[in-house]
Amino acid sequence: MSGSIEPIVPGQVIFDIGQKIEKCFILQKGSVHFFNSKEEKISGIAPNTMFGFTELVKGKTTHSTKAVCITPGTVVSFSSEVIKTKLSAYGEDNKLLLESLADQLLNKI
Amino acid sequence: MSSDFDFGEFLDESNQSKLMILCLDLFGVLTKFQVDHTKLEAAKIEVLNNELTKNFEGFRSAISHLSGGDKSSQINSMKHINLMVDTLVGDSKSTEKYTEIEKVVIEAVDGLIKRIDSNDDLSKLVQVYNFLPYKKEIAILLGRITDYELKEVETMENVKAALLKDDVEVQLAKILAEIADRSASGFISDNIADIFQQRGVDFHIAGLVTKESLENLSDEQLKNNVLLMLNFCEDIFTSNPEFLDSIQNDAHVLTSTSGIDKDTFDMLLLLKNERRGNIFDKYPVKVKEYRAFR
Repeated sequence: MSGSIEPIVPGQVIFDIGQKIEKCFILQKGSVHFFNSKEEKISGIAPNTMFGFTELVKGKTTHSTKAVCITPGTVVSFSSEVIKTKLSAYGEDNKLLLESLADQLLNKI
Repeated sequence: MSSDFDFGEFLDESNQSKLMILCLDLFGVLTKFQVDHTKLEAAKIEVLNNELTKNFEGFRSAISHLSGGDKSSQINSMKHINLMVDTLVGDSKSTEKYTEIEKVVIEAVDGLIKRIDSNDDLSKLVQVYNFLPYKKEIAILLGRITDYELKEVETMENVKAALLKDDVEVQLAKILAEIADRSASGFISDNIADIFQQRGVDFHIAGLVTKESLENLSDEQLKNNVLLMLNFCEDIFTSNPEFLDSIQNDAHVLTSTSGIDKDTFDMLLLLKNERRGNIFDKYPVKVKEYRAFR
């Protein structure tokens, strides 16, 4: 379950809509944009940001956005099981807070 | 193997800087032609004891196998360190350390060139050039030359001479073209290599695809069929003996080479039909899908 360093190149699809969530990521260098099913950009992230896990908080198993590398860099990837294990350790109150944050993000799509 | 990933530790940039400094110290030791075994062990232990290292099994494994008497373990570790240094977020302390080690590396280059005697020596130099941001082009060219596993003394001497000239890139590109022409296996033309590169395939991998592997494949297939890079451990051939048959049924193997982690392979595949990369989901492999040609 340890992390791996993966170089990313412009245009590379890191994950796609409907794809099973197997890995989550930390963007270390470069930039990544997220697109909805209409290919509209809904957000972008800068380095030192985790991504690819929001749906897991809502108990979903597939990605609802497409993540595309815009400028070259690297990501650290790790198994989604790591996130699932950490989520299972949260109390109900914390889970509700996380779910409401995830709702806000997913409603933007 | 680590069973967790410590986000708190990792996302703290000062921790990333600390690991980067340790990696740089180790790279400085490894750069020397005659590696000092005592310094190597000390620097190696510092890296292995770092809290962030345990989050990266491949990196940890490469460093733990590092040995003063084993050149291939040193080259493999240098590959991992280059990737790690390129990835970690630094601060003023790591920048200061980088400047210090950069000087050590620059001072060592000429000596390393003059003492080139084997493909391993060339491979080590590839990693040294990779470390230097303004020498990446030389690293790519030298890496491609090294992939041909030079055996002729004359060619090795030509490479050494080229590396000491002012127009290194031009000289290396000439040598690479000559070696490619002489190669019996026949590597692909620049036009085909461009297709792979536009799809996101690394220059170094695209250059290893042979003409034979592309027989009966059209340019349209190369541009549009699903293109995957599989990374797997050699153990898969015993744990999943049907794996190779599955690959050959569903895909054209364009090339394969050793992976960055010890005992792993990278395999570039073009799927035969519209089936997606998830056909390999049931196997313990890492799959990277490249974009379609635009």
